[in-house]
Amino acid sequence: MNQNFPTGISPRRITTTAAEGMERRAWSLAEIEAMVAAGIIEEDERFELIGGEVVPMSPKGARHEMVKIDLNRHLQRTVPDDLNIAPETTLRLDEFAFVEPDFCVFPRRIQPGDMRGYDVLLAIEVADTSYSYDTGRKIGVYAAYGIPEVWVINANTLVTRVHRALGAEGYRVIEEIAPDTDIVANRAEGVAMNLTKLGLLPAQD
Amino acid sequence: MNQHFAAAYPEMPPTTQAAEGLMRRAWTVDEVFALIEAGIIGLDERFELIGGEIVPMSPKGIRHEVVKNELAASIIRNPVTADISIHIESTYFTGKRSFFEPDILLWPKHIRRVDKDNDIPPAELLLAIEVSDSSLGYDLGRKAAFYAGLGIREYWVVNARSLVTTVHRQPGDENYTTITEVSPDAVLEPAFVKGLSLRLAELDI
Repeated sequence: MNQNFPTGISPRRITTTAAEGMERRAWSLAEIEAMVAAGIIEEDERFELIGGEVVPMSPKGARHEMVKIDLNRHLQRTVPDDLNIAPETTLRLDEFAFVEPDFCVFPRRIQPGDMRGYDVLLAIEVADTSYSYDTGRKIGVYAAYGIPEVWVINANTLVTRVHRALGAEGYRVIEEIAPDTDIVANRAEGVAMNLTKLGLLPAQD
Repeated sequence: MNQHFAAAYPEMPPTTQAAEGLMRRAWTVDEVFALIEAGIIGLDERFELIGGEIVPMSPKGIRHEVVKNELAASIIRNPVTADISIHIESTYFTGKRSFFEPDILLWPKHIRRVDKDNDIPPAELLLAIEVSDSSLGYDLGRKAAFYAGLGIREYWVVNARSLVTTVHRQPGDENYTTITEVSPDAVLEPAFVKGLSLRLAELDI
């Protein structure tokens, strides 16, 4: 067999784009849950379901973990009583989609398992290897499901790309905010961060 | 599948290109069998597995069935194919993450098909034939590239309406390097099946 066949398969032979451009079978959330129950997908496999397709998540680096841990401590300490902040929770968007943002901010009266896209007031992603996905395709997914505000923190530079003013065409306001500037959530009242004040420094290279 | 079709046939799973451009999870042949056994993939679902991706097959029309069966019958009835195995719409397994369903597949009878993990090596196949109506674009395009990549030595695409046959020979890395169109009243002679010659205009179609 030709080594290049099928085209697009990764060296780890786990992910692929072999059937690019073709109509592929879509999986529903219920089918994915049945696969996990049947042991076909391992419980510890980390992936998102994007429009019925299983998209594995990139492994997260040390910078990602460091930023996430410090930010989590800060957010949990300062969150107002009427809001919850769920780290790395599965956010079910519809029958064919779920994502796993690093943080979801939502009203406390909603049970985490019942949370849907429209309940989320703010989603925060910490991105290192996944930065182009998180600021590209994934923002499109968040916009499509009506999440009003998304912050994507570049784990290396600590610059945060803030997406706001969701309209029919996506987020109308996209700003890059430096680490030493306060960022205040629009809809999730009382949620704010300043990465420099958390003691975080940009990566040196 | 278009939305109207999905609504009319709610038991058929929808298809998608939602994660186009993203690295998607690749399924193995074994996982697909487990999905069928667990009842997650229906027994009535018809699809090919292309480099780990499940690509549903277009429904086949009556014209497709007539041409396929008449063509297969004429090959089987010819005494020169006595020492050749001829399988019709059989699932052909190749590698851990692919299987195809060619309409007609020929190989020397002395090579036995035993199990899916050790199917006939592609280079041993004498001829693969696809009869195409709605799938003509796929069969002439991506599928030709896949078959060439596998090293299948000769591949015919028979247009079910016009009976023009596109003969593919000399597989290269990207596609076949010799591609010729043969009209229904011209003679088709497969390079690796000695003595066989066919004229599609002579079939009882």
